[in-house]
Amino acid sequence: MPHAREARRDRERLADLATGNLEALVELYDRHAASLYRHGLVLCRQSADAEDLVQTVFIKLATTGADLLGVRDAASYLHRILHTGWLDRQRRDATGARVIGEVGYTSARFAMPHVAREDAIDIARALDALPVAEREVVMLHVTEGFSFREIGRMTGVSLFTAAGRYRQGMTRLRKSFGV
Amino acid sequence: MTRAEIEKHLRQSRWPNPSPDLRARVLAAAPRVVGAVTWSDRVWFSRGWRIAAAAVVVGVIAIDLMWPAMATGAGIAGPQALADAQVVDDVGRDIGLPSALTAALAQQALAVDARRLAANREQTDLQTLETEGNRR
Repeated sequence: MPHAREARRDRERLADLATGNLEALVELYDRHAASLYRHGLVLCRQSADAEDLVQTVFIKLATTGADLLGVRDAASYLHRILHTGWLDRQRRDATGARVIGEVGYTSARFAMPHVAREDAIDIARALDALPVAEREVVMLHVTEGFSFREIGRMTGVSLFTAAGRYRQGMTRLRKSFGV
Repeated sequence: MTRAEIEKHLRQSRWPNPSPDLRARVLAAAPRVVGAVTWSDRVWFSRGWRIAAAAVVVGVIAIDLMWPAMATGAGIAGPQALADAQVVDDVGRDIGLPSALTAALAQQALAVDARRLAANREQTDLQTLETEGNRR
């Protein structure tokens, strides 16, 4: 989660970008692209799709204009755009049944974190098996450090729903280890 | 494995980074939007403007609360109004209102009663004058 100084710098860069300064976009990309890519990877499971999502986010950012002046937390704002972009893509690309299958409970393998230890491999596999909504909350909270309130705003649910998804996800992870 | 251990392992996982091509792709595809921000946008989105707007609203409300008390400062309220004002003061303190606001509300209760008494007195004076005029 960005510190106050970084958040202020982000706001300044967003204001610069609103006036058409593309150097601000470069700085914002360097600061947030990796985190957004991880979020995209958790949602899409495919590197190419995750990169497309990240690209969509920054194109949208570059074309938003004056509304960027009203953004208080750039990181949350960018992740929210990514989540919305992913939902739009789901609606556009998939038939209803496929949408339910992917948004709901699927256990398809996804090449998630490159890991160094056996434990971590097991965790990556267990994470892979979680429903996407729970996987997203677990990743955003643990890896990216967002609060449940911020995650709720990003994903369009309440704070309590986000926290519930996290709790359920952690319970599933623990069960997958036989705890 | 405990929840804390799971979280620790998740934090320590090395996640892949986006390819370097992506950066070039994003920057090449990003359109330049020039002159999209007007002075009114800057005013509307500025924090100072919002704080000033909120301060004006609070000021108007405060003046509205204080004005009757100031307008009828010389008026004298009855004993019932004093009791009512005391109740307003007590309730305000009980529910945790700021003391200034509680005092203003109590003052307003007194002012309303003072105005009512003044109006009654005026009415009585008029009636007296009317009666005396008829006698003459």
